[in-house]
Amino acid sequence: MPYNAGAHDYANTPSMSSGETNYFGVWEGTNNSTTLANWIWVGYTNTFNNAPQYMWADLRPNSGVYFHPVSGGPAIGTSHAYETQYLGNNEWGVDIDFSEVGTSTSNPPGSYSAFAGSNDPGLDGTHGTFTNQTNQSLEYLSNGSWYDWYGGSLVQEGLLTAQYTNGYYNEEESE
Amino acid sequence: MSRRKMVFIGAGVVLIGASIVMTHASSHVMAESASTLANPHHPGMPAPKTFHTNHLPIPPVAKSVPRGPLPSSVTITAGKARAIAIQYIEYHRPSQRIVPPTITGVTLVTRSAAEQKAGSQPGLPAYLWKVSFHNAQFDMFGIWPRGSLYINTETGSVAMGHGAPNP
Repeated sequence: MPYNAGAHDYANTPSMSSGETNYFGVWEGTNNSTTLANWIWVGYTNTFNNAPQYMWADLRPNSGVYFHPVSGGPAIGTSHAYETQYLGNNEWGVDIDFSEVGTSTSNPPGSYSAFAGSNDPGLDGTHGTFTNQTNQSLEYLSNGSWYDWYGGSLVQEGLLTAQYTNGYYNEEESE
Repeated sequence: MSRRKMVFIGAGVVLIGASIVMTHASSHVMAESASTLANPHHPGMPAPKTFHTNHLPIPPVAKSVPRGPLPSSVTITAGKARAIAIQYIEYHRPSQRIVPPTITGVTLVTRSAAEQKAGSQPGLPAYLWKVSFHNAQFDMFGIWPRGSLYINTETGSVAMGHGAPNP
């Protein structure tokens, strides 16, 4: 079965509560994850100060999380494009507004889950919950074409957050 | 026909030819841009763009830090890097009753070594201070008990971070 090789969404920039760490953006499962057990994320956060700042991060197999702040950040009320894409050789690229801002390494391919919205409060995959789902325009890349990531459902597995597993399976099954 | 007239005509043909080539090239770019922008799933939104090449390649070889004095580009000292890491930790510390993580070491690493381990991003300096910690009990980028903060040796900003479970 072919797997997703990228995820894309546009996210607005609401104001963020001070004193609370928030992460907004697009998460895509990697390493054949159906539950976002491993992922790559690109979006923005207020983890460095109370103003939104661009950032990308990944949670790779046996590696923990690496986070990468990117200079600049979205203005409150503006919408921006966030995208992840598999590059080959266990590497993923991350884009903000169609410019590549990072490369994730040692991150195997295969994606059956994605989420667009916010994760509050953590990125560790065992704490916090995904909220403010905003994936009305979430799309996935498969075999060089982009498709609407329709359908799917929110899944809860123990403490492991909620994630949006996808319409991709639905589409495959309907063929 | 005079030789001068022939030169003018020749130049005109070249100009027209060049214009046609440029018009074709421009319209090709326009058409490509237009097709890139059309989003069949979400009208009014630009379509996602597939990027085919890795613009931020990971260095194949990790360079080591040279022996001797600090490289001249390193303007932030190890002590300052530690203080910046403590400042970052304190910013995220929700209460004075929760003990902060213990800093276990400050080491200088090369950009290529850090990128091979952590991944690539624009703007990294040639060297980074890696400030390692353990016993973290609160959310700095998720709640990870141990990890490290990579400090930019030229600007003093937090350039990257790593969180991991206990071994």
